[in-house]
Amino acid sequence: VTIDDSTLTLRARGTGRPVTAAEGFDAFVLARSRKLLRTAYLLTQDHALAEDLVQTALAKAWFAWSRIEGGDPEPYVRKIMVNTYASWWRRRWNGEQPTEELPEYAVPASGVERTDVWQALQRLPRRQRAVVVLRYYEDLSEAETARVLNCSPGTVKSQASKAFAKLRLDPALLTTDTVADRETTR
Amino acid sequence: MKLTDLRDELTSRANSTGETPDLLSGVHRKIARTKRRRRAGAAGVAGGLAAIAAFAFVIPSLTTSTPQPADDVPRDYVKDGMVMPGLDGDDRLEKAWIGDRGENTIDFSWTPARQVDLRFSGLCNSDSTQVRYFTVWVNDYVVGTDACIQDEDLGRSGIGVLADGAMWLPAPAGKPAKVIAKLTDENGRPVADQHVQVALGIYQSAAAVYEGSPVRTPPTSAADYVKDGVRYRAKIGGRMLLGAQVADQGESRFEFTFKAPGVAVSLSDFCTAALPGTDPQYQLSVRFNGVLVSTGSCPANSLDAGTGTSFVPGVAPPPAGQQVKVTVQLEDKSGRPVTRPKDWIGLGIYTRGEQQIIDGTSLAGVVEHGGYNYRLTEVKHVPLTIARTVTISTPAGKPFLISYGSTKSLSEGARVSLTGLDGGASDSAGGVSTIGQAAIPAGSATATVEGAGQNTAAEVFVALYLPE
Repeated sequence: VTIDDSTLTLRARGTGRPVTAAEGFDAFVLARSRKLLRTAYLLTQDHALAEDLVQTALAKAWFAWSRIEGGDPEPYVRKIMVNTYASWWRRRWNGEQPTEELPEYAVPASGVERTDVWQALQRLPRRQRAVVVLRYYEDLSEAETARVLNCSPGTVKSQASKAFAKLRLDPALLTTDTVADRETTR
Repeated sequence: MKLTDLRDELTSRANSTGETPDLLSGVHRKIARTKRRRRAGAAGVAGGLAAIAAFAFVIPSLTTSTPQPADDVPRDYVKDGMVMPGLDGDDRLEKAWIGDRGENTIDFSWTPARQVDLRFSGLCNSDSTQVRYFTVWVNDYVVGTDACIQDEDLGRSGIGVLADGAMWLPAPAGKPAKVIAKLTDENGRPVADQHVQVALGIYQSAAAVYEGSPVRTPPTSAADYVKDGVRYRAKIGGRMLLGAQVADQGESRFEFTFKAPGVAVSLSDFCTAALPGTDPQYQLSVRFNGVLVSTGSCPANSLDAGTGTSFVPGVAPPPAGQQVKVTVQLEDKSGRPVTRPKDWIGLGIYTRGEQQIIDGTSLAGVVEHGGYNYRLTEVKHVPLTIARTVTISTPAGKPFLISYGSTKSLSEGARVSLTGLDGGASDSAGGVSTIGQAAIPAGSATATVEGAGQNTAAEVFVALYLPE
């Protein structure tokens, strides 16, 4: 099992023996929880739900740990996490009501506040929000994002485009420059 | 906003997670719990198969049976390590089915014992992390589509069917019904995947706890129109039934007459014709004396067919006392008549009851909310050119309703908010909104308009309804 080189090196150096799969898993959890938690928080916009999401994704990954190919399990765990987020949305995110049609909100008198962007992101459909987080926080390419979401790169492109269209039309951000106009293609 | 603003926002928010809590112990607990469930499932299957094999030639259906309803706690239903929990929260498993791996459609027979609130929950066992959906039909009635959960911690997910839901029309209690669950996309289109194992559980929902105004099943009367279990109540709030008809199953057109009251009437249609997906394929057209007055889309939600959405035709009401011939036709979305042998259609026509007009907007004198009637007792309203806020006193010790909003459409971006009730502020984009409130100490409710232009020719209002 090859996981986080730095962490595993430390463990191997400390024990003087090869790490087991269980130790490797624990090491992975300790090493990568923070990063996964950040992504989970951007998806759920709730700290407690983010922790639950990360723990659930890791628990699911444990059962496939020995079958994970390609060395680094993180893409696999991230994939489980993003898709678990989508499939759990209906049952756990009861307070969240993303809509296809943007609800009307008052336009702020001043420029963009951080809360405006955050609220606009909250109003995105969950798949579009996942695309935005993966592309512009995780910095994944369209192809990498497509692999996480089990869809085509074209779908990622169109979902990103729709997300930006919604952000552009979001009343909270209407007074600002559009994002789509300034998007660069990776 | 620039792309850099978006990236900055994401990074800033992500960094706000601060110190990383110890997630490892929680992960271990989740793993252990899943292991226990899987072991229990496997043991159940291994032990059960021998007994089932011995008796299968006598009662073949045992190989596909479900938990016994006599148990105090319904047993989990298990197969191949998949577990459909006997209890999901307080919801009890009535019937379950687990297909074979790669079997993307499962079907089984189910005899609902009682007409109660139900929930259909789907489980999809797969190595893939792709989101799956399932669509359920009962006796060809489309129950709905929902996400297929990947672990047995269902969390009361699934498709809800209420005790007065239209599903009970094609699938009455006490009679065997055919249940079909298919692996689909979120729009109900079938999906093929040889690696997915699909399971469906039908749960009897525990009684819901309502935090707002009281809720009950509304009373019925001998004057109600009832056919095949579809009921048009003679009186709903202040609305009085003028005429109704429900066609025989499969009948796609019917006619009846009613005596015009000389004022606008409201129509409540009923139609079970629906296909999976969000795009309605069928509609009901309504004609008065041959003149089209409305079209409404299917499907029906409730067997209490006079409740829910009703609409008022935009045409001038027929003269008082005139016998009006009503023609109702099931059509496709292009307006062509169609026949659906397994569906029902119906229509009820109601008087609108006493109305109070505020700057051209009608407020019903009596409304039904949660099965109880409430009467309009006080309205406060003020032109927006004068003030943006209006407040009304609310009583102590009794439930009440508050209607609030604007008498005319507001400019884009404007909102009407209501404060003073439990549960925090509510808001709307204008029009009439109504909120129920359980008994609380005496206080006040305030409606406030924000974001509307200085010269907006509308009024903000707030109205109080008390129990009859």
